[in-house]
Amino acid sequence: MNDNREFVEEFLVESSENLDQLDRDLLALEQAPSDPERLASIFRTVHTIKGNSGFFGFSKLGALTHSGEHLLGRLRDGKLTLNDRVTGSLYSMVDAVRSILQSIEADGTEGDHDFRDLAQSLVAAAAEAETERAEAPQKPPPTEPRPAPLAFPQTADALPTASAAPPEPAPQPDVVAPAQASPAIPPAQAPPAVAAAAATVTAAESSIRVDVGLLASILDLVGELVLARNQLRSIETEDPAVQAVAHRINAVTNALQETAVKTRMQPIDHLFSKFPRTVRDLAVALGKEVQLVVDGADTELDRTLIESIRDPLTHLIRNAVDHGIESPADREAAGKPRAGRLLLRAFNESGQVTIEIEDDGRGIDVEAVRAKAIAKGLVTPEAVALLADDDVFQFIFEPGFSTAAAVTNVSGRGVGMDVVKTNIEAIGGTVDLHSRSGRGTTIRVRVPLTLAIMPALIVRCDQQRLAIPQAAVGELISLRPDRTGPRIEGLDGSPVIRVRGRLVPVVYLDEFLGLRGRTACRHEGTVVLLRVDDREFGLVIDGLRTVQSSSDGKPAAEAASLTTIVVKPIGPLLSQIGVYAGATVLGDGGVALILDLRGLLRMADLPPVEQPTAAIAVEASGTELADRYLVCRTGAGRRVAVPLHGVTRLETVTAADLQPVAGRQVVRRGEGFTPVVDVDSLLGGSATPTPAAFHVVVLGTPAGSIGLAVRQIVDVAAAESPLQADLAAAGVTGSLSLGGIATEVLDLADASIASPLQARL
Amino acid sequence: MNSASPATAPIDLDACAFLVGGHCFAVPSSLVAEVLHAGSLTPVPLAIDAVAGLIHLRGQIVPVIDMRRRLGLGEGLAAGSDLLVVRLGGDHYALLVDEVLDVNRIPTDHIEPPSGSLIEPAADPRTGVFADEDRLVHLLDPQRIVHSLLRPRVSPAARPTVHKQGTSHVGTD
Repeated sequence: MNDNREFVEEFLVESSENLDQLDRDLLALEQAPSDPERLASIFRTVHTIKGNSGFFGFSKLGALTHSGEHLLGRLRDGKLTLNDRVTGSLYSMVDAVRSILQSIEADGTEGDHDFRDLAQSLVAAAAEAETERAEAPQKPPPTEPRPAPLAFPQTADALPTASAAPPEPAPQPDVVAPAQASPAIPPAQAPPAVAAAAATVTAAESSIRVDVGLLASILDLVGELVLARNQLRSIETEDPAVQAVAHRINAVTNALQETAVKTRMQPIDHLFSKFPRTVRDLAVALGKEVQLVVDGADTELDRTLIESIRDPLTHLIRNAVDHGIESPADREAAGKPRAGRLLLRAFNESGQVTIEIEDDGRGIDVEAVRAKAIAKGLVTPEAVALLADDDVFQFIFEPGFSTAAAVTNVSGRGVGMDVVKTNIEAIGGTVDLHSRSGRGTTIRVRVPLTLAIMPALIVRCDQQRLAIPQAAVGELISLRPDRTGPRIEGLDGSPVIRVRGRLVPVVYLDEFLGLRGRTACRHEGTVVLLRVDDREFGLVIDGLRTVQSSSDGKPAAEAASLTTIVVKPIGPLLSQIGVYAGATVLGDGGVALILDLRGLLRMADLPPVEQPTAAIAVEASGTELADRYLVCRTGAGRRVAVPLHGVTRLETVTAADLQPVAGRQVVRRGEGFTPVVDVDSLLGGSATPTPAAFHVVVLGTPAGSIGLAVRQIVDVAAAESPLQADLAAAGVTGSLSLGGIATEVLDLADASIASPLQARL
Repeated sequence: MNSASPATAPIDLDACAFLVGGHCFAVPSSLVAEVLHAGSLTPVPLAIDAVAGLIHLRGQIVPVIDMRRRLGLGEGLAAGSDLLVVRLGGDHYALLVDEVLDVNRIPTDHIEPPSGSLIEPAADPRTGVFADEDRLVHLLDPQRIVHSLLRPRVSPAARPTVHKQGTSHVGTD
């Protein structure tokens, strides 16, 4: 057996490809039941597997494929016509063969499952179909729900696990000329267009099978060469001959690296080609009709990423068929075609690959999601009313959100969507979802082309050099020792930096990594603003990578801190730390660890910072907020404080959002209106001209909500002194010290606030 | 504690011997990929104590395990330390030792079960001891050296997964 091992493996890889081809062919055959070329191709494939299994002495496999071949032979010769029973038997056979092959791969045996029943049913189907033939000679593609033909454990549910199989090079093309058209079937009956989805034409001669490990080691060696090249470049020489050679080596190395990275790419068809079968099986099981349209299957993606998105995509597609697309009866009642349409599309977009899964099913009821989000305590009714529909759908990605029957039944989407999102984000991708009730749902998955190389910012922190993936980097802010310009402030003990009015929490990288007991970067250094999973935070570093110097101190060519790095895995011992995603070898041969920003964010456990756009009242609890104030600056530049317990939420409003209603300015939110009053006019001053955009502090009052228009949200601070009521004035209850500055406190009991109807902007 | 040899050869064991903190240890030479002089290591902030850093070895990033700390035999590396690179499955690990000695052929029937304990038994990588002419050679299982340093893998989505049917095929890692 050991001697055979190599050949058996070859057989397994080849057969696995052949089975994929069989799936495609069977699907196409259902559309065009008497396509002679398709039949010939299926027959040939089964025959090949049968022949090989005989050679290796796999008797079960041989018996099974023999029965299948018998059935196919009669079909091919026109003695039978394809019907649902025959198709079902053939699918079951493919599944059985796949299961036997998996068993052979696992332990070298055919497993102990008995397939004789199935073999008999194949023979029976051959005989039975023959008798039916006279009755239904020209059956069109079936339209009514078909009985599930898969009386076999290896059904669609187990399909995704089939990926444990060997590497999947280009699909095996039809090598033998498939022109053995059977005279019994008129060729005109086969519409050529239907075959398009399945016909993947590759030239066998132009590709070879290469071990993945071999490719990986070629990539490693190229990396070594790049290092040597970099060292060569730093050598000063006057000799023009040496210079010319160095230049040439440089150019060739660049080209070689680019080419080597391309060997990691695979068309996404390797993944997409599985889905027609998944969709078909699920649709049959659910009694639905689904037309799957695949587009852009030739889009290329790193093969490791293709593996990573296999499960999430399978899940999304199953969701779309299961929950999105309605039953044929429901669809007809809704005035839609009986067959649902599921579009699977991949394309390149700005250095990423976008995959869209679009169905024309029932869509998601946004109000049900709103209600559910409130019921789960994820958001307040006021806050959710302000969210746009697309933002509301984001709740679907919350853990456990959709497990409740209410949403699953009403909107029918999202079981395990948080897992899908987690898996996609783990490879640096994003998922978003758009839906219109009754019209369908589109899910867009974006993933990077490859994880093998990526642009990164190399930064310095103490003696350490670290790489930050550029995709997450928003901007760089320098801190000046003289404390002019942006500076880091403490907010409740958590450092934040103010960026154009926003408060962004920061992490001192040196402290975080334990490089220094206490950060050296409080007033000097650089803040890298990062955005990860919609969270913005700053990482305070010593600076960007020092300029590399060659021997005479002249800056070498590779001085830029923004470079393309080759990502190397770091193994379990280092990745378990949770803050490193990998490592990269720098031009000077040194190693920089690549920060895993998601892990870093998780470990840093930053407290939420109240933002002008955030619904801060969500976590509000009366006692905590009693002494805290929201500090704002008015249009006229006055510094005022609003007791935080009165604040419902903060909003950014544009002038266009304001509408005059009955002599007042109101902001429309959802179904309701919120009157807005300018704080300056409230305090007896004159209202400044309305700027293009301003902040509104929304207060909840017994008479309804009212918005206070301010120019800037400054801070949330705790009172540092008792309220001095003797400084009260119109609309002001007094003054107190906030952030070291005396600040007027607005009187929430003031008539114009307490009864919003009188308010004037 | 089983008295079997830690690795392959049923009769004789080729073992690569090295010194750590004045004691002599050995690992099966079949697992040794390479021996290097310890140059400068790239430190790995937040790594556990036993990880001294990492090295770049022909395209691979290899973590360095400080054997003094790992075996509870003091701290830090002595001048002129060596790196013994072992291969475990697809991963490489460099063991930072005081000095790599030589490869000895050890008859397996001369290997005794280890006695006493340097460190807590669960983390003790010793599989046996062999009395060489003038000293004791402690045999180590590289797998165990590394394994107890690995935390049980916690899924990033370590939260209650209460999903119903249809989610089982979407793994959490």
